[in-house]
Amino acid sequence: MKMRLIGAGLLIGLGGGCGEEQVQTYEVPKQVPLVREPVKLVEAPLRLGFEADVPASWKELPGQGMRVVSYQIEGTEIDFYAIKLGMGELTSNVNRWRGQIGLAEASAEAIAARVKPLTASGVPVAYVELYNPDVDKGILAAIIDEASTYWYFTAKGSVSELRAHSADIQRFINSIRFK
Amino acid sequence: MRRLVDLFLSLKLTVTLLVLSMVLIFAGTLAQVDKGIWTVMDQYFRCWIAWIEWSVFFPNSVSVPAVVLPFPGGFLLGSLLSLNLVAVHSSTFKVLVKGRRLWVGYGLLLLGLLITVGVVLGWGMAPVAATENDAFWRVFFRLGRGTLAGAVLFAACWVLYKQRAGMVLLHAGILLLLVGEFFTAIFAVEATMTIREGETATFFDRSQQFELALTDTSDEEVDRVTTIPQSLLKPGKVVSVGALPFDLKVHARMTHSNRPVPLDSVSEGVREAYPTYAGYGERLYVARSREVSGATGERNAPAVDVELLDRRSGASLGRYLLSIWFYPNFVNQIWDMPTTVRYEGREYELYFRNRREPALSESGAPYAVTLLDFVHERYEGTQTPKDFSSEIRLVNEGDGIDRNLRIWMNNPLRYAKRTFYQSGYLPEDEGTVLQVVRNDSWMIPYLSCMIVFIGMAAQFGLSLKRMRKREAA
Repeated sequence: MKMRLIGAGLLIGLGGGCGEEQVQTYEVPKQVPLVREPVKLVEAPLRLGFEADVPASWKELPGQGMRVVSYQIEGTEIDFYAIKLGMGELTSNVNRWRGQIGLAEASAEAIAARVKPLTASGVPVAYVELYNPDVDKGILAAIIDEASTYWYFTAKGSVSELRAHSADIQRFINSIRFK
Repeated sequence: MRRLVDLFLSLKLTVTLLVLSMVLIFAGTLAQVDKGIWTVMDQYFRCWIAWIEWSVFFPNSVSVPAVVLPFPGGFLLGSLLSLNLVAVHSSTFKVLVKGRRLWVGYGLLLLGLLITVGVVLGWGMAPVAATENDAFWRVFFRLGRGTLAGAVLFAACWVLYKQRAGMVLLHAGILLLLVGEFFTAIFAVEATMTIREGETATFFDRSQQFELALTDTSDEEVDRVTTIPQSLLKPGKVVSVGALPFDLKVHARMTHSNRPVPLDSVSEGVREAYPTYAGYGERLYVARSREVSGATGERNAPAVDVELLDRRSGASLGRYLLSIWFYPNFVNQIWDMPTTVRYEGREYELYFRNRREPALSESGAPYAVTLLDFVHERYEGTQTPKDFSSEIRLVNEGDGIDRNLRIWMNNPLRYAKRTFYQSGYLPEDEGTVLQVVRNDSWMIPYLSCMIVFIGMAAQFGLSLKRMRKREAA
């Protein structure tokens, strides 16, 4: 009986002698960076209804009126904001934006040909870039059909500033994850 | 000694231990409101003495004194219950046979134990057990192996203990379950393997162990990596490693740090109290945060605040905030933010990261996993995952293995004593995240269940037979 108790005690005490962790030094073949983003990212808060990787140089501004959120892009006068609506017809919206920067209306076919298809975490995005160098105005816009809700991400500003930040804006749109 | 033996033979001890276990589980469950599940596991269950904070029994809105009560931990309660069970078992159930029948019983017992050990260690199983198609049959055959062991053990008990065979067997099954959980707690290791499509991984990221990695990238051919385990990074301590030309003074170690936000986005008061850092801390705000709740399923993001010191003069070479948020595999490779330090003509990259473990088979040969393709299907019109799977190539040149395999939801790969589960994926479906678990005692719950089942069935059957016999008489 005593022996069985001692045996059981020994069995239970087995795990006690685990080795302590130690400093290690080793060589590995030259590592290829996994991802090296030029812009370090932080995440948009969830309360907006979506998550996204927001460049650290952008400042989030609270929503106002129809705007769910706005972003101030450091060193620019770009007005970038998001709204959501129950409708999202492409041609009429693009023609409305064209009108805002002094461009004539375009046909549905011409607009469809200019749309750049993106995806926001698997959701298709209709993304357009409109520029009018004559008045130095442009609009970058994305319409995302998130099952019964249409999200509009619109950036308005000068042609040069929009061109300079087009890649960041597209990366931001690609990173959007709806909740 | 007699009194000690009597204590362990007491049913009162069993009841007391079970009540204490219930209190511990109750307190541990409540503690997960404010703490991560792994913190609670270590503080309450996987320890000999648990320190229960009195505040866990009250809502956060109620102010209670910060009292911490010592309480028997999970290991202590489990061990005492095991000793209690062995003691009662030994004194209550006596071998009832002698001579040849005794030897037959012992022979069967030895055979049953051999089968049990074989089932636990996976004797006769394929070295690469991949993706059996049907989850039902997979579990069915595991229970079948448990049933075989249980049946032989029952035969041994029947020969040795006769009418009490069922009781003996079911107690043995419970004991096996307790011992199995103890080994799981001590030895099981969880890790992840993150692989982009077309790329190859040769290491795991341990989920619950962390390290500070300092990589000398100055050489054109190789990187020299020095890793310091988190356990050695104690606040206030100066760590000196021969392979490094500088020392590290640890200012703080954080269980959880907030996701990085621009430093200019926090209030002026917070900014003024923030230490002056070099590296990312210069423009990003990352600081100690309240631990994530175990109820949310989120992970803690540990960090360290270290200052590099010149070894000769002790002069500061810069203070750095190193958070696991900067490590790409922690953020599903959305970004990669190494902290770069230049000193005496050499360049170092610093990460605070999950402890890295090379992928080695049982023979010690390294192996590599290449992600050939990742498929992610969603239910139409939604973002809800329907199915995701990884087509991988497993290569172990040392053991002569080169196979293409598929891992998908609920269909893991078993290889080199590890189980590879499809766990997650990278943004835009560019890669996979596999959860890699090593638990050598994973078969014990299946085995215990079947042993207890056979024991209970036999006990009920024999009792019924006795009752019928009495009624007939």
